[in-house]
Amino acid sequence: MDEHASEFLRQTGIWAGWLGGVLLNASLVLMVREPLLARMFGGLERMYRWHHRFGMAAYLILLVHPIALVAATWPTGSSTGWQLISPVTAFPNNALGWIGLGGLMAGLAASFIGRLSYSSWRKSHAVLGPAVLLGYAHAAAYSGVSIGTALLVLPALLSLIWRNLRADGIRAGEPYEVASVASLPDTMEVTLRPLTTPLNVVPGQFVMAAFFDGPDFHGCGEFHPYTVCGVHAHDELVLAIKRLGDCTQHIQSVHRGTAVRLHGPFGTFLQTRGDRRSLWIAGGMGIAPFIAALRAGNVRRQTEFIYSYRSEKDALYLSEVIDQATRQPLLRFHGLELQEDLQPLVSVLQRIEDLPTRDIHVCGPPPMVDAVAKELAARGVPRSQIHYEKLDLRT
Amino acid sequence: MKILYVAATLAFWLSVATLWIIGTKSAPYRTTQVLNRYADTDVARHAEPDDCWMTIAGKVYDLSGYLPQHPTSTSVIADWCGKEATNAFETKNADQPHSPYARELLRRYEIGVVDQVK
Repeated sequence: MDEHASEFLRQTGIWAGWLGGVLLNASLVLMVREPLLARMFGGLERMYRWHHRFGMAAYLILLVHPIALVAATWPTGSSTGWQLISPVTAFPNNALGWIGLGGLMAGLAASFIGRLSYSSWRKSHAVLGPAVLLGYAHAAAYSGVSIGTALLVLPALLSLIWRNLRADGIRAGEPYEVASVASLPDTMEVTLRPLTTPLNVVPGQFVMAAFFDGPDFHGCGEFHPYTVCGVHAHDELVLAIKRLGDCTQHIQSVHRGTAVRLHGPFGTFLQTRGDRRSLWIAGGMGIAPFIAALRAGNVRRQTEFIYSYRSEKDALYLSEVIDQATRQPLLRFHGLELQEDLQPLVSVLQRIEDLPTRDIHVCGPPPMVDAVAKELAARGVPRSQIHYEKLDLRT
Repeated sequence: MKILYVAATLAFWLSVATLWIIGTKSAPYRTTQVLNRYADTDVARHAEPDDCWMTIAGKVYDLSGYLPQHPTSTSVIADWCGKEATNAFETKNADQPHSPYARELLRRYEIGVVDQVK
């Protein structure tokens, strides 16, 4: 290998390290769960998709960093290469890099395990923060404290601190209290009263809510996303919490007076402008944003409303929706019992002739949303007219 | 993304394992050239950035070809052309030693040793 190739590989290794660090910074900024930032990026779900992409890109590029540096030393002999990257060489400089990279590796591996409980997933994901900081310490150990390393470290540190203080900690969000509870099939409807500044929520939006302690109740203190089902007088918010995992299972026994903290609101699901006719498609718990819209006021556009559920007796808010449909002249309702086979839903869509001219809002489990999205694309509905919320947001 | 992660991680660790095995089994790099002996006055005659010799830890190095590649500004290192630069190399004048890689790289530019008698 000649000198030029060697130098090219050395520069590739150095630039891979710096570029990986910059991409990690971008990934960290995109995990700052703030409503304003989420709006700028087109919604929390889209922001998190880019958080994953930047994180993954950073990881792949950082793998190149040590390998390229070693490859550059090949003209001087193979033992030089290993000495260059060995964790015991120039201790603790290289060790910091190895531990940081190992932390990234472990944190990413855990994020790909689908069957992990939410609590376990959050703990394993939290490893990534310190791993990133160790990587930056490795960079600073070699290049010294400079404007470059400061520009790298400070945004990452600020993002981590902001996220922990504003979105995850016991003081995150605004304080609320459980004002009343109502038991529904497999679901607890909880009305929350604000204790200080209320969140300004419009129908279709969701909040991040964490339940803490109350009379005979100890909440899990984890923030989960819940779509707001209604806004009552005095800014009270209504959430419908289905029994899905350990934390939501526990919330089924929540009592009045339990402390809650809310962060948000997020989403622009039902906030479309213009006067196109609408199509609403709800699956299971996906009824939540639509019931909030119905409770908030009259339907102002001609709207077809398809609500699919496993069985009528378990369908949340079904009787309320049917009642609203009889009183709203612009709303036409279709109830649909649906099991694993989604073909009946697709058949209903195929009978709606003016589909490409409507604003379409879809909310439900990911398989349902994906099947609907595929049918809508096949029918030529422009992407800008399709708005969806998948009930699967790991945050 | 999962497949990409698994493939990239496996490839990385295979590369590292290979390097470790080769690295711990191979002899370290040794120069085989015959080294000339130079006096301090000889070194001092090469004191320009495009003709730059230095003395470090008793050895003489011709760094003329390396100066443009040095990570920091050329002027930082050019100040030491033609001089004894052991302390500057070991501390970068800020108590920060050069990395092991830098030390290995330096060996490529070795041209002789300091002749204390000459």
